[in-house]
Amino acid sequence: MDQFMDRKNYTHRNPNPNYTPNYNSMQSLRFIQALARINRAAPKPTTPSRRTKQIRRAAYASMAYTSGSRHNWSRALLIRLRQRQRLRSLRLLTVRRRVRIVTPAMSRPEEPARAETLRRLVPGGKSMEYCNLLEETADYMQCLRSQVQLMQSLVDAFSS
Amino acid sequence: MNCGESSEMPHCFLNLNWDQSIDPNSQLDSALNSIVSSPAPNLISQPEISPQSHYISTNGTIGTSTGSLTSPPPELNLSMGGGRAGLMPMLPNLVPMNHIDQFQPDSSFTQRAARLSCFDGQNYPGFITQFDLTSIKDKRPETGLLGGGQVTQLLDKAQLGFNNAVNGHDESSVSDPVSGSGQIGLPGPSDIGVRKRKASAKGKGKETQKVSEDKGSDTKRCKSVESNGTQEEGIKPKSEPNGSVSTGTTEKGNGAKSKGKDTGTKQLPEPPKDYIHVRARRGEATDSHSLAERVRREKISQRMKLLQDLVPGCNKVVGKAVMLDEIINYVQSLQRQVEFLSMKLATVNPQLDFNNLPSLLTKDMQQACAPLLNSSFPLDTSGLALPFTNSQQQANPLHFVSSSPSSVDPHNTMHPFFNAITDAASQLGAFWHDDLQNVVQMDIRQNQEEIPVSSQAFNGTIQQAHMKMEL
Repeated sequence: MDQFMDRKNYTHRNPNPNYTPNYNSMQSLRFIQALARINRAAPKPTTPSRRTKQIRRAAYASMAYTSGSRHNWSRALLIRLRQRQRLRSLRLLTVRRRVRIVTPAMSRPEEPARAETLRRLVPGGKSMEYCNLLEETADYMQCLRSQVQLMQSLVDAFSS
Repeated sequence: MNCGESSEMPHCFLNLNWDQSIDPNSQLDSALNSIVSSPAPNLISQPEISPQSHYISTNGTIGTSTGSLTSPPPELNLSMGGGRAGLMPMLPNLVPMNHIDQFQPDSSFTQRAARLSCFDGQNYPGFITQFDLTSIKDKRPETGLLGGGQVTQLLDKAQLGFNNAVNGHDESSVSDPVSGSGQIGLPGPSDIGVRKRKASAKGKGKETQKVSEDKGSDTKRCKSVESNGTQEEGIKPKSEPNGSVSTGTTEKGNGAKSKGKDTGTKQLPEPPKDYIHVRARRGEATDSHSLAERVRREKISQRMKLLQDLVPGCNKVVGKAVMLDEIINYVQSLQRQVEFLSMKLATVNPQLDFNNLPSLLTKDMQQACAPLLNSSFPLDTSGLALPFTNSQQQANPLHFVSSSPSSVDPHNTMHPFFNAITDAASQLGAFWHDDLQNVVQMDIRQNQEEIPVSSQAFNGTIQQAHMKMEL
């Protein structure tokens, strides 16, 4: 996955003069590339559950990479993915906890009760304030929805 | 409360564009972040009036937030430099000079600012935006070096100019102190407070009376202004006492107000506000805390409305609690769907025949993959080219091309096959997105490594080789 972030090799640009990278196309491209990579590793014996996890991880990665650092949730997601990748490759079991200025849930009395659940759902939601959390939720929902649509169309195409 | 609000200050700027689009304006974000985070000393480029620069700095931020405005830099630099002595420690968030270059001190801009400042009367009758500072730029070259005490005069003149541009709004009352009219005979700091509020053209005649009536609420702000000396609007850290509270609350109110009014914002793409003036409504508490709380509530309600539009089937739901439940359920269902679809893809994918891939990809891929198809690929690269095809129209030649390797003797052409693919990949390199190229190159290298191992296994099984050659 790091290869996608390697911009040193960005010497070849899309020669299409009408190329305008919109979010959906970038997301689709990244996801299909990730799927291709997973398929390439298919001859190795991979259980369906492992492939499921790989594909799910690829889905979230494509979402996070297309959103880039524009949103808190994508940044948090990228950090989480890279941490897990490093852990997996280096077999390290220690996880350094990032120091964040987080007000614990008890000190946020003005929030509704379900805000805590929302924080758990949205990546990086623990350290955000409530109105920022709502903003991030909106964007996260949009990305999730487009990802789901993309995967659904792929499944339909492959199965037909 | 103050500490809590401070972190929202940058987001006030983000909220300026919230109505227009979800996708953040990266340029605006960077500008806004620079506004918030840039230290004050960076702004000092030229020695100039200190209090004036204070106001001008806010103008600078306003200008940067607009982004599209262009203005002669020297004017802003004049004012920015002056803000040091008494103001620098209090203005850590002043915009660096380079951002002010975009500022445009046109009368047309002031008119647009005036229009932008017109309130959506139903929602925020008491809110005012501060646009008058933009007009200060017009006045700056005229006034030259001024003392700190003359800032108010400068502002009055600016206000006057702005008022003239706006054509007789209630700001005339503000300019009155300068012109000598006694409509609002407030002392200097009060003038500043009044001027701040009046800055944007309210367009309501009663505003003048409101100014005099709500002097009580203004006094709190004016007092804070007095207590902090020339310390004024502008983004201030929470550390400041009441003065910062008033301005901070005004900021949030402005943000909410700018969100609230739709017609005004549409005319000016990025309203130049760096602080918000919130006026307490009639019969409401004028406590700064309640003001900030009201601003925050309105922000949250704005976001909830946005979410309501996103979540399907939430039009009937009324109320924040139920809405929040719906949102949580929807996000959870989306995540579960991703999980389920990934499971499905995991089972479906191994049997994937990439010959059918051209029909699978959506039109969105067309842009990214069009150049790949338009070039003439060697036959051997069909397996590689297939994943990047886009449209069904071009599926036929690809099908034809892909069928050719099947007729080739696997043993004789195994290595040339892979070599040809390597060559083709290098040829196609110029057409590929960098990511695609990396993917395919990795693919080729991996296949080359597998050649000696798998060549025996390829006895007549082109399909197997085809699968390997694919993505």
